[in-house]
Amino acid sequence: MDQKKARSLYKSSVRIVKENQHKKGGFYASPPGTRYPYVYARDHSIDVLGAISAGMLKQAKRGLKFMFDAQKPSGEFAQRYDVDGTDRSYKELQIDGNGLILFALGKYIEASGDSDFAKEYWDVIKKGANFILQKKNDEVGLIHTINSIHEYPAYEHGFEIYANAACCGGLKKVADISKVISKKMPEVEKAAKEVAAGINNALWSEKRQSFLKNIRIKDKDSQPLGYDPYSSVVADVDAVLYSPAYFEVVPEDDHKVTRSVRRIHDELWDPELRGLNRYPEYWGRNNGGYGPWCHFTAMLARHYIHLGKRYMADTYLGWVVDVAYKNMLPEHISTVERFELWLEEYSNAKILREDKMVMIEGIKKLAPWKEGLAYVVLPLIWPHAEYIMAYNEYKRKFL
Amino acid sequence: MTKAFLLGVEELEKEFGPDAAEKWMRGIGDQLAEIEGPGVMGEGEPDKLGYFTICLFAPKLNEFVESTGGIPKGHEKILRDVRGPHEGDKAEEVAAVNVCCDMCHAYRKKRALMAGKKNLLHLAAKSKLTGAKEINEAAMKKANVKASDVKKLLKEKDCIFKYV
Repeated sequence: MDQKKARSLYKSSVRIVKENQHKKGGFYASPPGTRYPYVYARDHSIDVLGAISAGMLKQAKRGLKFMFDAQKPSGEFAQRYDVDGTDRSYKELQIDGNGLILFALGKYIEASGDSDFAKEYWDVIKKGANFILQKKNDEVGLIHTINSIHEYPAYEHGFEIYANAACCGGLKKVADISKVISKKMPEVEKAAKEVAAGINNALWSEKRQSFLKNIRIKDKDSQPLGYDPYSSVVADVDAVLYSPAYFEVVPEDDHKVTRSVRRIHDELWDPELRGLNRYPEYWGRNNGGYGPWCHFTAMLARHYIHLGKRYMADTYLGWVVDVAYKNMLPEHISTVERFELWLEEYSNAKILREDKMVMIEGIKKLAPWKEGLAYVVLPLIWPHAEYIMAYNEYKRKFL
Repeated sequence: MTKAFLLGVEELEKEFGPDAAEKWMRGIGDQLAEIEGPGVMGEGEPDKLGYFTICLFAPKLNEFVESTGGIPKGHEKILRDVRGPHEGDKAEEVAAVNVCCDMCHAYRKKRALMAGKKNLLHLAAKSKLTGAKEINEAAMKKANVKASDVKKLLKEKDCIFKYV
């Protein structure tokens, strides 16, 4: 990995994360005037984690406060908000948002020792945790969702792994916080253990030696689950099969994690562009063309860093460094050829929405296009936050 | 569940008349808003000109109408009732093209008020199923938007509105 470029990208990433926090506390998913000028609970939580890693605790606290003040009456944190904290969601339930915010809160308290903040917002925290518990199915011990990290119900509606890992991680943090501030919430600790067991049992395949993406179930309360109209298993590979380690539910060196990561590398590392794809091409939703994603590549780099595997850590993080354009990271990259393939398929299928036309114009305007590469959404803030975390861990481990 | 609800609307109208059914559906919209909390919905720029490319209820309503062989008489009566004429400010009326428009508007308006908006004006709507179009000229005037912009947009979109 080019260390000079890596340091330079780190500095830019810190600046980009900082600059893209609105004065009211929300982190834009992408800067105003670009594709995602809203505060998405998922991206925002990762940005808070990035801020914590960079030592920007004031910014992290403002980010958490923004989200807590915007909580819905049900306890849910919405898919997305505008900068004033008004719900601007357009998709159905994404329960991982609740898990993520609570996980980020836990990380903030660990880094700052600011337990007064948790006391101040205890009712909100409790409500956020209770909302997750409402979505838990006791037969399998897992949390039900409609959307998860890819906002793709066809593969995520049910008991999905990222949503469950995020929620389990979040519940564990709430249980820890409750002890620190002497509040009783034993049901949260119990549920966290049950979800962890569900991940380790129902979402693990011994024969495949891999975590599983999803147990498709239409209705959370179908009992018995086998009679639910969707009941099936999605065993396809997905970069987020790594998420049980990311959210500290399963240790990094557990064979379930190492075997799943091996599978992710074998099946999702892009042979042409290098970098990590998020899911198999045949899932068929490859906006802007199929290709590797910066934040998933940075996320998996952390696994290799934790295990001290320098060569793989350099390969993954080095790719992120190499792919940066003017020290900015895109959501993902593709080739012009793959881009054209996607465009043809979506046009012929009549599913090319007008917002995609804006995205297409943006891709073609960028300099990499002339070199045969499609840079999709530049910059996206999430990969910068993910890079901050990975780089700091890399530095601590290897430099 | 959707089919049961829409048949229930028909039954309610039969039993109590269109006025009561309309009021009942608006009440549902209000209660849904209470559960969901503050929020602004729609594509485009809802503070200038917002829209839904596909009506939130159209796919399920159309499926229902196809399965029952036509729009139930009770639904038509409720729709006529929503369209008026009414006393009061015409700009506040709903440009309704299906039986759920009034409920949807009540829901979205209440969420908007909770979010600190002053009003939600329903400017126009169309039904792809029946071809019906409704344009609220008074609402457009109150919203200070050009009728030509709304009419142009209506060719592509199902529902057009503005949060003020």
